[in-house]
Amino acid sequence: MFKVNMVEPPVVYFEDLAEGHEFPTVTKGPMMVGHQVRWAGACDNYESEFHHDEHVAKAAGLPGILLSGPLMASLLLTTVTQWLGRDARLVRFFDQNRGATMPRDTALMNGRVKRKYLESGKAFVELDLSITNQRSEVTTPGSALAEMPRRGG
Amino acid sequence: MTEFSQAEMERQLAALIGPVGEPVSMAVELGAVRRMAVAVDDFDPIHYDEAAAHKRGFRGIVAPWPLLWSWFFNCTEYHLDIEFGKATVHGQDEYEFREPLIVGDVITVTTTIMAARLKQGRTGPLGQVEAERRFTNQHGQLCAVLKTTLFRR
Repeated sequence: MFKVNMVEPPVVYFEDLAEGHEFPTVTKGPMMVGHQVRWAGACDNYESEFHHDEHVAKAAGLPGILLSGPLMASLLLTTVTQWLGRDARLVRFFDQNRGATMPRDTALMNGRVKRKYLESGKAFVELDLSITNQRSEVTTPGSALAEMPRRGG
Repeated sequence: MTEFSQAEMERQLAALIGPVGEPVSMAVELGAVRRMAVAVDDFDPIHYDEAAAHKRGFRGIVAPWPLLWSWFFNCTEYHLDIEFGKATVHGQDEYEFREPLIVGDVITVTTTIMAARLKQGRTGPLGQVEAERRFTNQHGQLCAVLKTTLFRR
């Protein structure tokens, strides 16, 4: 049996979330080169050497290794699925790679409910999202839309 | 470095618009699902345990959505065939989620450059390229759409 501590997300209902609700911030890291290497393995893609080799990164004029934008966004996406619970259905997700995450940076996953609404008998929530670093700089603004279960539905 | 006129840069960008390559198919593998789930801190049992996935109403073990990047890197052409500029930057991503990716499914991805335009960036001309990748399963169901914006400068 693969050794992973599985954790089933809680059930969260549309009625549990109010507009303006802020989800508890989730801290990732310090992010390390190992996170990037694991991501490269998961994507089966090692082509962009500057993501895992400091020598290559600096030779290209970068300050050092930069962790992949899609990796950081994917950590945010996972956090959203945990905030919204196991019966939510993620419909859309958006992220922008605005600032770099470098080894030893901390990444804080932030989210709040921007809007909730009913449409064609379905319940939706829109989220404002961001990743900030230890200097409170926004590295990754984002957003998401999810269909939520109804209490008693 | 060769200097290109604005008209030539616009011509290179316009030439990108349209389908890119042929559709490519790749199976959803159990090991790949597990590796991606671990890489993005997703410990929901539906990514590891078939019984848990069935209990939640899925046909089988469910891939975390970031596994789409495995098709992106391994099944599609993502380098921009343009001569101007020194570097390509991954700007932002917009995901649309439909049918889940299930272990054993065969996912076919098609790539299209939807738009490419020349803008004026802070440090000079900036090419903005919007690519769309559509992921379809063996039943012809649309699983996801990934819209990626790249910048060339």
